[in-house]
Amino acid sequence: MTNDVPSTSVSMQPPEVFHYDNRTVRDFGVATIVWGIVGFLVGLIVALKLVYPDFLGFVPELSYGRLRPLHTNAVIFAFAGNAIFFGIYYSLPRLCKTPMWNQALSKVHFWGWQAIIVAAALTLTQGITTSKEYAELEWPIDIAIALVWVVFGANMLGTIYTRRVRHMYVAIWFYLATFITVAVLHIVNSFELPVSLFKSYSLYAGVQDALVQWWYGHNAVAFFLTTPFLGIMYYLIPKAANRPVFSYRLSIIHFWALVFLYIWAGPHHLLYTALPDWAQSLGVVFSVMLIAPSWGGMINGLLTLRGAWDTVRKSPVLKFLVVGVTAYGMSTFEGPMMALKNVNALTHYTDYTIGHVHMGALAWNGGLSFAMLYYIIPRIYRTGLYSVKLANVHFWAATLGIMFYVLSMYFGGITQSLMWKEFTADGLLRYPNFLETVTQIMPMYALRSVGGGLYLTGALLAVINLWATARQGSLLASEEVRTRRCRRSACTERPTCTAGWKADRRSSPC
Amino acid sequence: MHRWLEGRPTQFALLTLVAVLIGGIIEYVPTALIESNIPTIAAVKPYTPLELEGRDVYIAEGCVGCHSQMIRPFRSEVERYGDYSKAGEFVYDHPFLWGSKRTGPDLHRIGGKYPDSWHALHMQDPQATSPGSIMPAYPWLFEKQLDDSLIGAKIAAMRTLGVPYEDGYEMQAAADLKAQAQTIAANLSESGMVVPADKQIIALIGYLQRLGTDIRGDAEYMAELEALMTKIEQGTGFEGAQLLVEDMDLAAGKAIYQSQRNLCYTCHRNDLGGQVGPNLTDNYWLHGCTVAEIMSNIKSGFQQKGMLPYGSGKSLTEEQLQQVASYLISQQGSNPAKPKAADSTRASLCEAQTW
Repeated sequence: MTNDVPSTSVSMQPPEVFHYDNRTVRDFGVATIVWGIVGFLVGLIVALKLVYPDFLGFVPELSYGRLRPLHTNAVIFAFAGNAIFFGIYYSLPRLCKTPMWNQALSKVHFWGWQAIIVAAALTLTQGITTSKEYAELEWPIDIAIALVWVVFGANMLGTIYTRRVRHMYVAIWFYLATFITVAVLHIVNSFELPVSLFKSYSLYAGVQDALVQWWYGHNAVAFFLTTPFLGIMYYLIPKAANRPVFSYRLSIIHFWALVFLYIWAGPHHLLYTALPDWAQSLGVVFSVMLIAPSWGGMINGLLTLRGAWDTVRKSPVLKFLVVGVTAYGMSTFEGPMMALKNVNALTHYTDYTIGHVHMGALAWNGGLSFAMLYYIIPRIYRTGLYSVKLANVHFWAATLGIMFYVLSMYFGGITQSLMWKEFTADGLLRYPNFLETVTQIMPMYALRSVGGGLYLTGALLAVINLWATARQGSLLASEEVRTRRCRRSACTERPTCTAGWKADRRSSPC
Repeated sequence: MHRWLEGRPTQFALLTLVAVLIGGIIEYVPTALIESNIPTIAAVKPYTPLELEGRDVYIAEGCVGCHSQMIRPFRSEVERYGDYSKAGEFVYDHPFLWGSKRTGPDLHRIGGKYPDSWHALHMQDPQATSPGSIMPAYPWLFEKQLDDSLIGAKIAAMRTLGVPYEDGYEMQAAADLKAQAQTIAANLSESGMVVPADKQIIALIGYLQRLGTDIRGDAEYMAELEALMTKIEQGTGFEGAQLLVEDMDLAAGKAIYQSQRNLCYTCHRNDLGGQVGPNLTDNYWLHGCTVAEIMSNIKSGFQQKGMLPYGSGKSLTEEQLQQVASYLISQQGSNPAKPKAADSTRASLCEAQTW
């Protein structure tokens, strides 16, 4: 907090006084952890249902087919979504040296988003769905999402336009790209013709519908689960490690390359399908190119920690960040590999993909979300973390859980795929009955549940720890800041936030 | 240069918008506008009203989460599932249901593969037809009524989206739906399953039986199929085949019966008590009782009842046929628990001495 107040006194003008709204930040933080637990729990339930099909009985509302989209939606839009807003509502005002633009919009945004999540849970369990992955919600909810998203965007843009800092820090570029692209993706993919209040048909058919859906689906990963978290990474790692970002130039190159290239990669979800070949090839080529900007982000994040690796040992925040960013690097190498046609022929339709996405969701999105929670909650409650030891236990439970989850899915996925493709010497399928290839990997399904259970246990420890942290402190709902408005001419004199080492002013989130 | 941009949020945001739009436009516009990208197939017709409702049941239950409908052009997939999927087969699919995960098998060519009763039984208790299956049961589809009040609106909506239903068909749709449902319900009751025609399961079966069958109407496809059928001659020429009694042969017959390859058990049950197919342990046999006759019947199957040649379509040698037939005969009178009731229309009784 003290970092946010300029430490030098270049100013000739009287300081301005304003207040950061920490209550909204807190609310998004609570929503992050609550929906996180819900999302993990539903995930564990569907995992157990694959091991014990009669688990929880055969009740329509709790059936696998209806809970699976609830799990994916809860984790992506409820857990990661609230985590994004948690991070942005904390970091954006501090990066712009101004409060969020409109407090009423903040409230509408918060409660609107939670209402959408509740509506999703109610409709999906009733079998009200469009069936398009990560876009299952029916048209009235789609409209609500678009409206709340615009509220979020307006609030963010308003904040940026009223900033007291001349240049937008790299984190803000990623926040902007997130807002713009998700809006385009959501609106275009949701074109549907309503039949009734709860039923609609996609405007597109067959191949075109598949292309639009995976253009959306893949870029939901890119612009909902990647760019906002990269922005948060650019804020949090320098803050938590007290180091400037490794390279400003790299951040420019990898930002523009990432937003331009990502969009093209959607067709790699449709390799060897009825999608025209030229579109499949474009998807492959751009997926492979994506390694470069993705690794640019990872390298910039990890190398920011150069000379500060000793602090990683002591800080659970940095531990989660390091594992998260490393997992991001691994996933973004693995993704392009899986987008190669010959590799995809093996991994597509199998649990390998499930392992891949969980590496991203649990380690990268989960890691950054928990890092944020452990960093921000003590600060807005004006206290230290209740128990660093407990947070470390959480870290190891999560890491171990991810290992169990991902490795079992890799192993099971490849095993099953090879069984699907095996022929006898007579030219007959070695395993003509599909079921044999399922029973073969049941132990892997069981191990996956163990991994998921460990991850959930870790998250429950975080609940206890954060609850106790809030109890021992008190919420600084309105945080007073004194700063000097940066005039265009005076901008180069903007004070650096930390002294004592050669800070690159352009790349420090002060 | 970039420093300039960093001070201008509007320009920055617009440039980002341009950057993200390029790829999407270049990939989508030709796919939507150039006809040769999605070659149409004349034989592909819109879904019937019942199938459309069944498709919506399929969507509501999230079947797409575990079952793909997109057979890739690999030998291993064509062998397992049937002809690979063509772009033109999906032109009336709003939304597409290709799926992205196969926790269960692909369903694009499931239509006509099993009798209606197999599907009903499988949805009621997947483990009955597929022991060890991890698919959940769907008892509520047998209890819940199909809400067909929207069928007219659905047909009209589909027409708006470009599906060529005739003008005014929405008035006819409900009647057509009921008629098709009655046919399926009748098929089920013939197999001893009483399911009212207005239940959701009926619509789902209608949809599943339609899947991937359109291009089988092609003249070319029919010719191919006919050629195939003449190749699989009616099973004859086994006259004089002897009943095998050696333990080794009976064990071999049992292994074939229970194998994942020929799948006899999926319709007749592991203990031969019957479920989709008849009980094989009583002495009510419709198609002959001798080893030779049973061998012939296994070889040719009963296509109209849903039994493929050799049970699953995977061929057996003459010796193997003899082993299975002998195994079946050896199990006569084994009285498994809860056998399927004999069909009252079966007139011919096989006397024990004929074996």
